[in-house]
Amino acid sequence: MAEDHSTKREVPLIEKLIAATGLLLVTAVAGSLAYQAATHDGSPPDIEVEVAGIETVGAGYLVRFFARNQGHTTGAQVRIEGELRQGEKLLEQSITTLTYVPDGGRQEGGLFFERDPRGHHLRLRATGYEKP
Amino acid sequence: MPLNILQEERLSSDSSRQYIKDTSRAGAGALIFAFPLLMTMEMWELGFYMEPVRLLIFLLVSLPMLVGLSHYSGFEDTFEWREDVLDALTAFAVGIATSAAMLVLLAIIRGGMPWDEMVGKVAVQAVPASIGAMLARTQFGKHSESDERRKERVGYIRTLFLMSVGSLYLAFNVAPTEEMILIGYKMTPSYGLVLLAFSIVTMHALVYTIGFHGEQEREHSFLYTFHRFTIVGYAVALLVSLFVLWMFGRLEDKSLLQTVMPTVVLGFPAALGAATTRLIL
Repeated sequence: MAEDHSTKREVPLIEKLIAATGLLLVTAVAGSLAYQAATHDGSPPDIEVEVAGIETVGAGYLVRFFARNQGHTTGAQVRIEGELRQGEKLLEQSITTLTYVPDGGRQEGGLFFERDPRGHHLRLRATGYEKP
Repeated sequence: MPLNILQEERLSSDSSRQYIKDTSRAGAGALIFAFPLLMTMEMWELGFYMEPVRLLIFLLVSLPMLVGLSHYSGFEDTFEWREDVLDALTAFAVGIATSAAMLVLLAIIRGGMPWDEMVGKVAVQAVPASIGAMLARTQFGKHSESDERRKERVGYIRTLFLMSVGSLYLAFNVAPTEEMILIGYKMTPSYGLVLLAFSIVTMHALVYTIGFHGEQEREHSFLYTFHRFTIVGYAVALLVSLFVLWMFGRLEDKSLLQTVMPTVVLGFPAALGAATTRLIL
């Protein structure tokens, strides 16, 4: 018994604290993954586009937007189309592609127009995606 | 008297020859450690899209890390912090010089480029290069007896520190690539859980087989070693992974839950790096 005690040293408090924090951290990460796994239903990308701001730039007008993905799958190569209309008439169309719109997340992008979007009817929408 | 002076002169020329030898060895190490990143497209781009503040924080974090590396894994018997700082700065200088020379040679840095872009491109490469420079002097150099004794003395906190360096290096090697993000998007949370478990099992196997010197861990129970080295080591790997992701701006527009997945993905190479630190250092 006495020999046993000589080989085992007392663990300092700081080491105990570090060990406890480490365990807590790993448990938290595993727990949040488990939570996500439980709530994850694998629904396809559900992308809404909203205007974040309209600015005047050298080449005309810039419409900054956020694409939000409410689905549970990430969309890749998401095509965002913006249209300027006056009544039924299509005045101008701009298109861009977002590399990724993560599930539950948002991605910022921008579209350029020649005419001022503030004076017309502006519509932004996602027209398609690819599975990453 | 004259004999003494002569001896001193010989000694100093010997030590300066040794210094040159050490420095060229460091340069070689910097090359070996940095070339995968020197030839990675995303690393060149980082030079201009990374926020300067983050780059600065990164450099400020890596300097004390190099000092610690010099102290704990030490080559040349450095006993003083002052010498360790000097060694760290030397390794850093070698890292910067090597990265700059290679980037110019590979035609990535060209004349006419804005200077801040050049600085950014070199600075981001300099950290892995200087880790390489520091390690080369230990690795390729002869292992002295005092070196072995130093390893024996390595305590718990030092072990964790060395683990963080190993994980930083491996995580850094893959973090800038697009694939890291893509993998995170392809995997569902269930995959993430499996990867987490796999990382821990792999890490424990490595920790156990390589064996961490300094404390008679074999005397302790499985749970004791598992908790103190594997779980805490994995926690260190996750923190390093999170830091690297933040530095590379991979966490923008993400909620707390969404950062978990990429952290676990990058945590895998980080865990491998942490567990194999013993092999390298």
